[in-house]
Amino acid sequence: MQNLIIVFLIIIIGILFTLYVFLKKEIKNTTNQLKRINKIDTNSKIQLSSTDKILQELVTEINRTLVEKQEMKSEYKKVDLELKQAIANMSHDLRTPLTSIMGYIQLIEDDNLSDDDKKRYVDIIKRRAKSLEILISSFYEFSRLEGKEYQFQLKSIKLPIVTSDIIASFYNDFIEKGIEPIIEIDNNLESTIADEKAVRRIISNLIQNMIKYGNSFVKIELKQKDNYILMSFENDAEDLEKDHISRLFDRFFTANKTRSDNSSGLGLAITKQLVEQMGHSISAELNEGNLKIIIKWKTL
Amino acid sequence: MSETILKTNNLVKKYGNQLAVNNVNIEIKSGDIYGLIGKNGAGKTTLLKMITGLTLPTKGEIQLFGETSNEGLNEVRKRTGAIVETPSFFPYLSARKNLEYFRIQRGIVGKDVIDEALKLVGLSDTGKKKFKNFSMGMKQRLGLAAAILGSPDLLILDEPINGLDPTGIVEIRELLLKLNKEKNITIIISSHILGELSQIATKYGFLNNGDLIEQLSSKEIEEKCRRSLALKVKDAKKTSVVIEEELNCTDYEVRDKNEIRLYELIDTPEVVIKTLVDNNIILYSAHQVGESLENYFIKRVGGNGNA
Amino acid sequence: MLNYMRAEAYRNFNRMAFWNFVVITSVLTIVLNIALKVTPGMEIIGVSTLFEIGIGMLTMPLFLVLIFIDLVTAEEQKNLTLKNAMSFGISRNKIVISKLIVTAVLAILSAIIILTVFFGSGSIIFGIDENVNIDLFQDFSIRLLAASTLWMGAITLGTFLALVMNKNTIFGFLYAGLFLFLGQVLNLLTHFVWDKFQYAFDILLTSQLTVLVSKTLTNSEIRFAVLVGLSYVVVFSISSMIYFSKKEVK
Repeated sequence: MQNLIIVFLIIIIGILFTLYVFLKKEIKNTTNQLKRINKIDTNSKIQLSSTDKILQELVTEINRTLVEKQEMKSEYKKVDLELKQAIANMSHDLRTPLTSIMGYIQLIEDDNLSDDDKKRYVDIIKRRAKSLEILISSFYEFSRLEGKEYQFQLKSIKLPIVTSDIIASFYNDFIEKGIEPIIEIDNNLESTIADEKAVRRIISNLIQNMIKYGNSFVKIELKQKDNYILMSFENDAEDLEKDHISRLFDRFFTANKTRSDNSSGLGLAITKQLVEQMGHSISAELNEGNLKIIIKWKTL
Repeated sequence: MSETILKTNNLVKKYGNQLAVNNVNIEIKSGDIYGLIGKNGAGKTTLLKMITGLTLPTKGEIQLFGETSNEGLNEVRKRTGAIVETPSFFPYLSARKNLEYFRIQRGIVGKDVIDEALKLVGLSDTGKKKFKNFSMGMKQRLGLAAAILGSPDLLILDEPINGLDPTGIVEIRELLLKLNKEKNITIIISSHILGELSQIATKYGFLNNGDLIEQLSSKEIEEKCRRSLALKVKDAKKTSVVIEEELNCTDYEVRDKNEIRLYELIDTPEVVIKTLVDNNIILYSAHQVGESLENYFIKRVGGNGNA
Repeated sequence: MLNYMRAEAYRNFNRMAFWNFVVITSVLTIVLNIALKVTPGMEIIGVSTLFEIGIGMLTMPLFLVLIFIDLVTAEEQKNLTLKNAMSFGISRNKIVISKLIVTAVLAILSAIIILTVFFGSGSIIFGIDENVNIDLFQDFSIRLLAASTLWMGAITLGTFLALVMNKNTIFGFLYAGLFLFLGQVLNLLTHFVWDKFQYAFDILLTSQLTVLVSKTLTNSEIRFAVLVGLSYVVVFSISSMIYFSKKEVK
């Protein structure tokens, strides 16, 4: 009998010892895997053979940390790329008017030039310099918006009045381009809370865009919908593709890749920031070749 | 710095007297989505089988994550996820149980990985349905779920959109793009349908009868296929001034002393010609260049691009 | 490798076929006991007689393990699911060894269940008589353990065949046929062609099991049986690994 008990005890001790060694081995294995993972850029997570609950919990948490690390790396890369892209775009945008100005200055230095020509060139230089100034202001304004440093003076605004006002100021531009805008403004609307200057900026921006890119069809709508005010700007845009829509509000995005004709691509990005920082929302749709930009203004 | 994830050196597979894969050298860098394109029977699956270790090469070397030895390769294969030929799972188990099998097999900790994977591929609601009752589309999705279960760095997919309906194809395509961008997963996809791959591939390898005909990036192929007006002139500098001043075009490229590629006004060559001639430009020839991706492929491979 | 084995266990424990087999066989042993009790003319004193019957049935598992080999190895060939494990980088040798171990574990587990049910129901039906003593247990246990090495040999042989044959139906027939007929064939060859074939006959698993089943058993016979069993295990494990390492997996 005694022998049996001794044999039994030896077996039990043997099993416990094996379990202990196995657990230690698993911990070592985990450490080695972690060492390897930390050395390289990988999605790998730590793999376990053991079913020990405590060890599993530990590894789950380590894996969670690894996931976060990868996500941060990924985010960082994205932001870094965007920044590089932004700087490249800015340089390009600034260089063009500057080159033009330098060219004309060279021309003026030519003594054989008539006074009339000189005056003409000086005017051109002034205009180019002015547009350069506007461009740099946009960059500055945009960076302030992004850094949330823009101070809004919010008050109750009646949108129909402001909208009609600005549309009227663009009357000549519409005529010049030969477009007759379809205007549907409901004058009996509730007020919304916003900064008046910003609202004017937003509407001007969008109308300017429509004039620049639209050719035949322009429609401005302002009406009550559900519990918000719907303001939409629609124009024909046959060159626009579906996957451009999601990037329309990205800074520096212009649909035609050549970045010519002074469009800095910041207009819509600034507009979006203004709208959203005042607590409202903006979106874009492509319907049968027409681009529609929709702003939803929250009512009181 | 993009590291090389996968490289093959003169990889050969011979079956008896038949060369299934003949001295193939492909290279895939981190972050690529590599489209392996070829007709049915071109050797794509054989190539992928060698990469995944299902078939042993007759000659040549495979370098995966920097490893070339057999033990090394097996070790780094743990960083991959693969679907080769038809996705095969245990017919008597449900989707969840099948994935649980793989979760245990690979030592993956934490049961919610399974739910996450099923959600990503759109199979969360299959409940107790046994794999043998799955449609082809569902099988493909489960295959993809199993492949991403182990947080891979490289996905090896053999015709993953086979059997999917158009919505399914779009969903899988978006999923692959998402995995590539968000988790930096490198992907190699084989297909005989060029159209699908052209939406997401960053690099192409054209395989025909076991030979790798060409390997080029999507940028390169876009350049080669991009539509333009090819002008052969006497003086390219003079011509470029006229193009800018008279035609108001800025999108053009001076190829060498005598050739200009105009990327605007491609469909109105007569306007271009007339303007150039009116401005005393000596023009030898003007013709439209550029083709679709499919045509490019067909010309190289000489077969039906949409087999 | 531990993970692969655990996964294989998980999959097979979730397989209705496995449990069906175990349950049905256990129920059959109960039925057998009842039948013995009810049939007139059967001299059953008590559970001790069951041990004799048990010894007589030691050859059967040779065929029964077929189902385990099928579940673990042959079916995977049919369903083409092996490629998933291999493309993940689990080495081919580890796969083979794991399959052998898992098949053995399944077999042992089933054996424990079935034997417990057999002797348990026997005890209940026939009662424990005075013939039940330590010697009886020892004798039975030794024969059982020796036989199990031969069964392990059968498992390795069967797994090797399952790896070679791609179609699991052919595999099944080949395996059964081998154990049913090879003995007879060698017998005939010994008598009519060359008497040295006797040696081949002697090392067959079936022959060794017949030895273990006989009334009197010497220690040297036991040792030889175990040796044969272990040799089979070694030979066919290595053969399986070698064959599989070169095989083209579908």
